[in-house]
Amino acid sequence: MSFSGLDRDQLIRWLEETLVPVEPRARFVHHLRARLVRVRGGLMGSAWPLVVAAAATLLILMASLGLILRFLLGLLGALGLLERGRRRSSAA
Amino acid sequence: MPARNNEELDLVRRAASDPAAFGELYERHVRRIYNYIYYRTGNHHDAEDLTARVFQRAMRHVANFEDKGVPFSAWLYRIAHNLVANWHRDQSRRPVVPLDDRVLIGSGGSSHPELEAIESEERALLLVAVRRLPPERQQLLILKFVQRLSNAEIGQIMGRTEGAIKSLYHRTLNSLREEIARIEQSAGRDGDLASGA
Repeated sequence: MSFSGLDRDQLIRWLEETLVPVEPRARFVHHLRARLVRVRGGLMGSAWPLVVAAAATLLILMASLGLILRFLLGLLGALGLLERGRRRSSAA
Repeated sequence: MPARNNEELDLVRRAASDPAAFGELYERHVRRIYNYIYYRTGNHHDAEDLTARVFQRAMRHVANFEDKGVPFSAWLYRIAHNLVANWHRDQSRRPVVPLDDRVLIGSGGSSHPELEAIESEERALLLVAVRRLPPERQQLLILKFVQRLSNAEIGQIMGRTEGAIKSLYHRTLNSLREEIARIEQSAGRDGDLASGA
């Protein structure tokens, strides 16, 4: 059969008969959905370790800050004691 | 239609944080995206692979989707279009284009195998001609005939006006006719050479 003299309507009809919707395999559709939802859920789940890590870091920072402050206070106290001792000895 | 759009937009917003909402979007669009990719690649294996990649990419970037009056499906088609373009680039380095026998469906259940074979050949010829068209013209034909979308809907997806789509459709039909004639001519020449040899 020759299609050289095909007119517009014949071509449109031919396209309508040929370009028809195809159905993907049901197994493919279900597996992909399951995979996507699992990954999406996994991504959501992976936010929790981040929150925990951030909270732990904050806690460690605060604890270290307390330690540093105590150390500084101790140092100042020691210096004060030394100074007092020095004054006493110079007054005597 | 606007109610449906609003409902879909709400779903898209929720999809960024709710797997079930993304699953719902997937169910709504997977068949259309699959069909688009299938007719652009010509085989089920690559259609499945690329469809999976479209939705994986969509899932990663759904939070970045902005409502600019374009439907979510247009966003998905754009991802599919880009992935198919990459696929064609890779294929051109390995020029093997499988033509699935599943493409040749819809023969009408004829009880004559010869007739069926002729119809299959005719369909294959048309599909080869369609695949020789520029990508945007292929996209237009798929959206119009496979997805049965109106010119206005196609315009939204392709980022053109309804009038521009109408004119592109007219030009596409003309170039498809020329392509078919070219294929027939080259097939005739090959036939002459074969019978002469």
